[in-house]
Amino acid sequence: MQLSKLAAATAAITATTAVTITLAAPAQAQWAASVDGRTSLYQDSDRTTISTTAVAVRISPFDRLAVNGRYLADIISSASVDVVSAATGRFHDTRHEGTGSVSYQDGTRTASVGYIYSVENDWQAQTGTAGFSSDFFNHRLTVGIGGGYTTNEITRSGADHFHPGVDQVDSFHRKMKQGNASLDVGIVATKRDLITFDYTFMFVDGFQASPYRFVGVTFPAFSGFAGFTRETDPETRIRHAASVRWNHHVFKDTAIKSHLRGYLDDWGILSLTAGVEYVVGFNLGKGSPTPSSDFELGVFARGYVQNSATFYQAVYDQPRRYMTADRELSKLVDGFGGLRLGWARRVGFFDELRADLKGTGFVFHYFDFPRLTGRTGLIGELAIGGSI
Amino acid sequence: MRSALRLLVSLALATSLFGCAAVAPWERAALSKKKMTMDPDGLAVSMEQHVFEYREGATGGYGSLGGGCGCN
Repeated sequence: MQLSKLAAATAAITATTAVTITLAAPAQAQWAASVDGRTSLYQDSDRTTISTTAVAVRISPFDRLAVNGRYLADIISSASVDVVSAATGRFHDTRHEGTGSVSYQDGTRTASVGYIYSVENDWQAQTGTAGFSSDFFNHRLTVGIGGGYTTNEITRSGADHFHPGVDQVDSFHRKMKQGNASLDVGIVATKRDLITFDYTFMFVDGFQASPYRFVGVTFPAFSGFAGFTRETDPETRIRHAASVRWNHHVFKDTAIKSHLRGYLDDWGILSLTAGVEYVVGFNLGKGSPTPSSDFELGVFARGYVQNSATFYQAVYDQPRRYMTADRELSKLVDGFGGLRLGWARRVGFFDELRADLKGTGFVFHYFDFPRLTGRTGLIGELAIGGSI
Repeated sequence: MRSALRLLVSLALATSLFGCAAVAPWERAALSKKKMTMDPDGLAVSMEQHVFEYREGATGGYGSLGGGCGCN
């Protein structure tokens, strides 16, 4: 059922692409296409491995129109403390995601619509997106608005997760809806500086806890008797995020890219994110035929800090309306950093062939999550692509 | 952190109103380079954001403009 929907979505993307090309062909013979593939491997000290592979195709039957399709698969294997706390051994899961979008641009304005279908064995999501942006003052200012709406169907897989006495029947089925709207402003600040500002508003309504997670409750009045109950999060969540990004061009072919983001929501989470990347372009051989550098080396770092949700407690001494054992709702700090090496060049039939190699290391520290005080890990990525 | 967020929003508004320098199109050679694009590789960005979203309490805030030189 779910796979047939994914197949239908993929068929719809393919059909839309074919129809668009057919309609556009007589009007304009100039067309362009690109294909990109990217694969990554994530491994952390919390006994979790995730392999992600994605393929993206972009076809522009004529200058103003582009049709995009993407397929992504996440293969997850985990024996994380989250999984063990749900009384399960190592679990394996695969998530499939199909995306299709169409965009139209006339040199000053851009409009786009898109659809995303995501499915795994206990979760199914459908998302519709739309966006519009326009340039002003001779392309010195760009203002954009965007929005999206997602419906999620959540079930629970495996007999291991049915707990007699806690669950009446194992027919778990919940829904969650999400909406978001964003306002973006991009400016040409100087001959060497680009700055963008973004504000995003998000509203979530429905089941937001984990169907597998249990919260421990200790009763001091009964000599520390411990019981377990299912996690309960509020049904609604209002979220705000605002960021500023600044790209500064230095030297001949070097850029410093930085960003700062603030976030808050009505669950009490308040966070700051900051990041910077130093990108250098260079050629290995003299007399390169391309006007820009063949190679690009990036060094990047990112830091994040948040406080805990108001209802989060490491240990609950009495049952409360909202209780969670979600470490992502606890006070935490993390840091990511690494290197990226990119290559791009015009080769024969291709306008551009490109490759990208990236290695990232990360560390998390949880201030108030006794089962796991921290985790470290590595992410390796390899991408290749081409445009004609 | 709330005051830092207020500062961020104020900075955004102030720069948006007064920061549009009169940079002529022929002066934008450096700005048009691919490495100056906010999100030069959409596939890489979406996979990276997915890693963060599932491990942190925050999400969103990075918009949809993309763009390389403040223009479509």
